Amino acid sequence: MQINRRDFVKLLGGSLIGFAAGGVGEALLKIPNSVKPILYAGPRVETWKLTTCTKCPGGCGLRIRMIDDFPIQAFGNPLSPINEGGVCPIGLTSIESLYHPDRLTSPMKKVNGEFQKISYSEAYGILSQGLKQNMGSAKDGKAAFVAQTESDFMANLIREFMSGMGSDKVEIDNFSANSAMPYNRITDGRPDFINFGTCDFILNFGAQFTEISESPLYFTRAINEFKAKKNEFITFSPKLTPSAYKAKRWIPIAPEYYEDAALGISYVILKDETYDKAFVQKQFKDFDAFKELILQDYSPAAVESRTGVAAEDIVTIARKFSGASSPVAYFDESILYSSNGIRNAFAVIALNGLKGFAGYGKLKGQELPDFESGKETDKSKQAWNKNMLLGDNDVKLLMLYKNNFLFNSPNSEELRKALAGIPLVVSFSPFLDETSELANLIIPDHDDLEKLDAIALTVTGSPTISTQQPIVKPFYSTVHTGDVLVSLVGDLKLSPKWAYKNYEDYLQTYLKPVYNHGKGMLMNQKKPTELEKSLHQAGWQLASYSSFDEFWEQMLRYGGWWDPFPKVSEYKPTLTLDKNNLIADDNSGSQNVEPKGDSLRLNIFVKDLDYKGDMARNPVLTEQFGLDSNIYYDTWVEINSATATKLSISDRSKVRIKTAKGSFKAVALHNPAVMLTNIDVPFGLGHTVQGKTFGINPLSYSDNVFDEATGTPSFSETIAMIERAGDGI
Amino acid sequence: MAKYGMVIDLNKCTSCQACVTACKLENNVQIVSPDDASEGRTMFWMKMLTLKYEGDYPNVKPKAIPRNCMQCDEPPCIKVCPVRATYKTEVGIVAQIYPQCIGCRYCMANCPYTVKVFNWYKTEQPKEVEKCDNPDVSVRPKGVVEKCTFCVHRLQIAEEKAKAEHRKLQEGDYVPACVEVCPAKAIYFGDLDDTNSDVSKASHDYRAFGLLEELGTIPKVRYLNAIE
Repeated sequence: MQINRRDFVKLLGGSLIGFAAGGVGEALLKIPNSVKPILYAGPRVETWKLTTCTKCPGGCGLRIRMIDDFPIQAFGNPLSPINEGGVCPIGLTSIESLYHPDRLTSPMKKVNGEFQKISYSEAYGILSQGLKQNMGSAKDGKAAFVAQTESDFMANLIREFMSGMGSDKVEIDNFSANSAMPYNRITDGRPDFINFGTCDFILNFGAQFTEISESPLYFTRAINEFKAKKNEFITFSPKLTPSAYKAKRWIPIAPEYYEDAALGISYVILKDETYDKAFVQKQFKDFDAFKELILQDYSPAAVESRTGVAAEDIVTIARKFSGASSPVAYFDESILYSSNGIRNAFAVIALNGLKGFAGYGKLKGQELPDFESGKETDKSKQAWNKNMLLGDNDVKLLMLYKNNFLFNSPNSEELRKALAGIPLVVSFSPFLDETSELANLIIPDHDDLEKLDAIALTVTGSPTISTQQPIVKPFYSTVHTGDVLVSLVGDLKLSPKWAYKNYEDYLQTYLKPVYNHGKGMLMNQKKPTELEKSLHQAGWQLASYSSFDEFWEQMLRYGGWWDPFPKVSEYKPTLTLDKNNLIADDNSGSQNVEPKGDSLRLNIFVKDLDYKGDMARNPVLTEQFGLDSNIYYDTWVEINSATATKLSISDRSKVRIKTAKGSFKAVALHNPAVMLTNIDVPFGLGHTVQGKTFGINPLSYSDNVFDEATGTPSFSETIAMIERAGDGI
Repeated sequence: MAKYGMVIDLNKCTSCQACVTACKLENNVQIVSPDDASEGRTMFWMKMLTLKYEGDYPNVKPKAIPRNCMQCDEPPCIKVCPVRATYKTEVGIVAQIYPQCIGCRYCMANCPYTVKVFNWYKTEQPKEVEKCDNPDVSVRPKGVVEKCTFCVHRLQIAEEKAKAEHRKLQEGDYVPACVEVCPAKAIYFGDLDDTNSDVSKASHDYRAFGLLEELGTIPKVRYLNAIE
């Protein structure tokens, strides 16, 4: 159901009591329409509060500017070691969702196909009853949970909750966990960071470091400094995104060939015998079998014939990689967006193994809260994902947390049917979107500026915990999903030793070890002074709090904690890799898309203004989305000028793109940096529920191709035709 | 008296567009409707432009730049304004007197950098954004031209603060929003006449260039060329 303006005003009525009870002030009763008078007539007292952006995994510190206690602007926190005052477009616009007219203002249940407002206690009762009826064993789990969160703490709570429910049907879309998963499967843990202090060569397989990565703001600075030291950075990717053109070289390649490229480079290193013999002898299990496979199938000539990457380039890059003292072959979550995503990742890990992972670092000891249970889940070969809902008649209760997979998956129609067959679908989304509109029950979460959470990060080489504090009291009758889950585990006795009162209590328990070890410092000063460095070397601690309560209060006030003097070590994992990790089995679903004749490859790319398809509810970002192409509120496709000329497609002409699933219209842009075989189309537009509908969702026209191991959709393995649209567009 | 200028290091810039967003929000710049956007009426005081692609595929690189008002020392826009609604302040900022503007758009036509935009309608932001108005910046009325002001309201605030603290304005006290938020620290800003300032040093870097310098506009926004 789409809530229109009139419905929204009706819903506001129910929120009045909540405001009054919250003591926020009478004017809030008319939120959002009457904020303006307050801003103009209030005492105009300016205050600032610090918090953390949790809209991507980066964990950037934010400074929120408030007038009369109303947030009006967001800037970067200059004292955060992650972003040092910088902030991306998404962080800058993080105020807007607070005042969004489409926010859900109270729990709702669906009656005769329409949502009706209900009280939280009624909603909690329905969910609680549903959970009681659907507790089960791991094998035939009746309950499933699909979530998207960048908070490891929240992710771990969801896993604990589902463990208590006796179901392992949990998919948590978390960038860091997704990036770590391949490492967790074939090594004893992922490297914590690129050691930019020593790293002198980066071979990047598809990561959009400065756009969408584990910490775009940190990587922006780190890559710039890396390049300023005359170090070399090469990117393999299907699209010349800003991260790719910041590299010294861009090697255009289809994502399913990352594996071939990485192993082709390995071939040269093995032939040259320039690999780290001590490491492979000691840490690389079954190295001889690996070597045999590579030398048999991955000569540069063979790789060139499959991938189109020149054999000469493979050889040159391999020798640069092996000649570097601390090289890094890097990937992140984005490598999984291909039918052989997990094997791509394994190949890159193996390449790193040949040089002993020399460019990576590992934090020593218990520097950060450890999320062991999560890691164990991700190690499982049988890790569950939402695609397994198809044909699974056991699932009777599905819970959704901010994961709009009906927008983010090419098989949305099939998933929609699967959801229709589940008796109880519960969403914790703060907005209606393509997925949550199918729920029977919605218990909307708070806005980020109203809630407590934290992001733990190691990517900078210093353990960091950035805290998100409630900047304002909740505007509406929404509930922190963490609080709901903590209550449910206790009330349903899902865990025998469960003693948490609420999510704050849960979070605090994780952070007590950080307080207890007394290391590190709060984000209340930029970098340790020279005096503090000397004192630290003499054994002094920087910590200035006398109790946990004081520590916690300051964690929230200053936006987090970090350790500027981490104990680090080399990353030397045990690497267990067998042939099966690198060779597709016949049932893998992998496919090689080779455009023939006038057909091309539909390559869907993501931009830094969008993260997981959430941008559309944000007017500033939506307007700005097409800025660099000068096409606003509409879908465009980019095609190489040479290919376009061959197909008689003029620049900025209207075209129709045809795939096996149908056709859509777009404006064609000539771009000399597009792969000759590709039609590039941006992801993010085309919502039908969330925000306003502009453009199309290219995933709706993509083949149902997924990474065989994780269920991550492929973004570039669909054949498409392009033709002039004529006047009919 | 200071002469404010800006230098943008294209080696560091990642085209992330944070400067574009920050400018939009800081200065309450109108978000236009899809219909207006299709008419070419988008309003950006700061914009990312891809000037050209250099090299041949696959060794091709876009030359992308953030572009705001160049705050020319010899501003062509001033010379054609029939009502003196635009002028250069004593600190070198090309300013605009909105109530005096009659909307003739001569200045827009005479700006070689096409950085000025026109208010075709009364400002009315989408509901999501109207609560986030920056109270330090007035909303421009219908029928007037507007452009980047180097966030001059921030200069006023910084001067007042320095005065209250009985000190002179220091480097870094006053920076526009785009400078403050840049994740890459790619934008230098300050007094070009202060030879010790970072911006002054950067403006004399061997990589420094100005857009359309041959026109004699003497832009005070300069760029450092991206080189490998």
